[in-house]
Amino acid sequence: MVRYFSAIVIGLLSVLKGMAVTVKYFFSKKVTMEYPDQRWKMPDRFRGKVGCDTNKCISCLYCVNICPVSCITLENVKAEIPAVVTNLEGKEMKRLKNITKFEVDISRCIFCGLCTEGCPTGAIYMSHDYEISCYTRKDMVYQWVKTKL
Amino acid sequence: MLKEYIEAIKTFSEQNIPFTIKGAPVELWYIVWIFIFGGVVLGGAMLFAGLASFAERRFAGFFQCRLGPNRVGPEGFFQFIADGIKLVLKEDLIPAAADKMLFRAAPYVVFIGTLGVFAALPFSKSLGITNLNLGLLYIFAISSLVIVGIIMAGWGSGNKWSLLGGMRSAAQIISYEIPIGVVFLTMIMITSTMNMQEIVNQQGGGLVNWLVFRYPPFTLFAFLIYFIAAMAEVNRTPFDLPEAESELVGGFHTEYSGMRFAFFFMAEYANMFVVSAIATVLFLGGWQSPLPFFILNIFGDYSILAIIEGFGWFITKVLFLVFLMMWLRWTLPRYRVDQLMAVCWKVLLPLSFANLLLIGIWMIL
Amino acid sequence: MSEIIYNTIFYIFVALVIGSAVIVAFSRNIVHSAFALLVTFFGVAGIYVFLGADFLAIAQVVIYVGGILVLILFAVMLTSKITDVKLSNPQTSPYIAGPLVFLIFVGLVWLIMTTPWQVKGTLDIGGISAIGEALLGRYLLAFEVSAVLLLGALLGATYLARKSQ
Repeated sequence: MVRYFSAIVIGLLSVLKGMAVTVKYFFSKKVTMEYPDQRWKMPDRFRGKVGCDTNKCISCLYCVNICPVSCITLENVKAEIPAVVTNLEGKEMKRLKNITKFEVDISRCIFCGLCTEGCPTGAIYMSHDYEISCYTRKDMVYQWVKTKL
Repeated sequence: MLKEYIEAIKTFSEQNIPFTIKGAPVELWYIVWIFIFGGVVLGGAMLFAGLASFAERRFAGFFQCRLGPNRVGPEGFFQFIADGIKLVLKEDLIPAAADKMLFRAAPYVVFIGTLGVFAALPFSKSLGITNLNLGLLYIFAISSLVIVGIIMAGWGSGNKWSLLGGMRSAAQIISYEIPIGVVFLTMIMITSTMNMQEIVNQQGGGLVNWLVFRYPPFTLFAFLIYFIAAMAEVNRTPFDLPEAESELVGGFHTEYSGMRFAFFFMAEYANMFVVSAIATVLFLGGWQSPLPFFILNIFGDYSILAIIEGFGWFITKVLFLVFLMMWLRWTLPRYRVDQLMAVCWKVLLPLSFANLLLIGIWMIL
Repeated sequence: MSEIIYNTIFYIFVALVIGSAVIVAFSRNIVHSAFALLVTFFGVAGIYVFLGADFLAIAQVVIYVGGILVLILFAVMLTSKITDVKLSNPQTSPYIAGPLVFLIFVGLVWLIMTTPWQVKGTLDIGGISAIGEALLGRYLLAFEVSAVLLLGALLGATYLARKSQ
């Protein structure tokens, strides 16, 4: 008899306790946001889609060689007038070749970031862009430079 | 009853209708009023169901630290209109294995069972569709249609999940109707009337005169028993086994789509309103003000303003109880079937009988 | 005019009762029969309202729709292979049943025609308190006997349903 009534009392009290918890969340700050309008600010070292500033590139082929999955393609021809590029330390470097094709197949990319770490001019970088889904495989190949020969 | 009612309508029509057809019989007015009241109630119930479904989704978001739907209109207020349009435009599918007649009829039976109750609710001072002498018993009777409708839907779908959901629902509603009946009996014993307006009239004069505080703490217990059982009656979580989406897909309305599903959906929310309204009338003073007086009474006891104030109090109390149901829904997990039955037969039923006895003894003393 | 409207409503109820009762009797699908019974019960309740017996009408709905009809549905649905028409509503020897039903029908009609009906207008029972006093005063014995009967049924059901030791 005592157990029966104490069970009822405990049950009702635990319901009240649960209600107190939920009502606390009712008034608390919401953790979700309206995604396409509002976005999270990604941390600095977030590795999203690979991006490239082709003006800075000196066509050294470092990124092509280091890539573990060989997803970067770079083709070039000898330039008549070398371009001047400032590297990360502020030293001027010469680009002796004109890039004719520079693309990354993001469907094969493993987002390891090795290509960005060794780039002497900081041309290639990991962006904060994480919306990389698309409809076809062709769309997964990002062409930074494409020159028709 | 019919004759008296027709007389009342006749006097009402003569006083309030600016134009009357010369020589039109009273009974014709009766029929016309039936349709007018029916339309008003149907519109009101649908509007409430829509708003409640929006509120439920938004509050669900708040309770779970989410934002909830807030894109359609200010704060997502017109979400229910978007939902309604979607449901109207959807294809009305009838499964090949379904018993077509029963499948088609079931949503209407459920909806009639819910809407029928509105006819006996006292919305305010002298504002209500009817003022039945047997109002409480009528409500108890007409709401039993909901069970039949749910079984009809479960059977008519020709789907084992639907049938299981329908059977569970029927077993649950029948079981929980007994504690509700006993609580009704308790309240009828205290007020010695079944007339809803009369029950509310007895609770006038402020908070302390509400029936929930009449025989402390027994009427409070009665209120708790009624509220728990009523939540089970309207298939709300934690008693939502008939719909149990994780085990029965959707229970009795698995196979329904489009407008027929909308009918079930609206019936569920209208049902929430109904049980909250009954709880308000029986325990929380109906349209009576919590203050010892009506604020707008200065314009006369039965002026339009006083009636509107009463309606406001009534709706406020009902909406609070509906909110309480939503609050509980997002707090508690679902019961197991055996636990459900144990709560009803081993806890609510004996306690409600003990309550009835103790209040009876107190009344005699 | 008002007589016409009264009569129209009354005959609508009568048609509802008889029509659904015909479905109950003749439908080959027992589930349809059970659900048609719902309409019959409601029609009868409507006729009770016409007779001024409000309490009886509501009690009809509570007991027959809320209780008995749901029990019938449960029984139907818990029976296996119920959708098989042969099992659910078999037709057995219409040559015996026909005359028998006809005799009962004639008997009932004769009874209705010869009974001196008391036409007193609407019956005013005087609310639930009068019913309560009548049940616990004048008709106490019948009330208690039916209560004992129901208790017996309850105990019997419990005895049948319990696990055998």
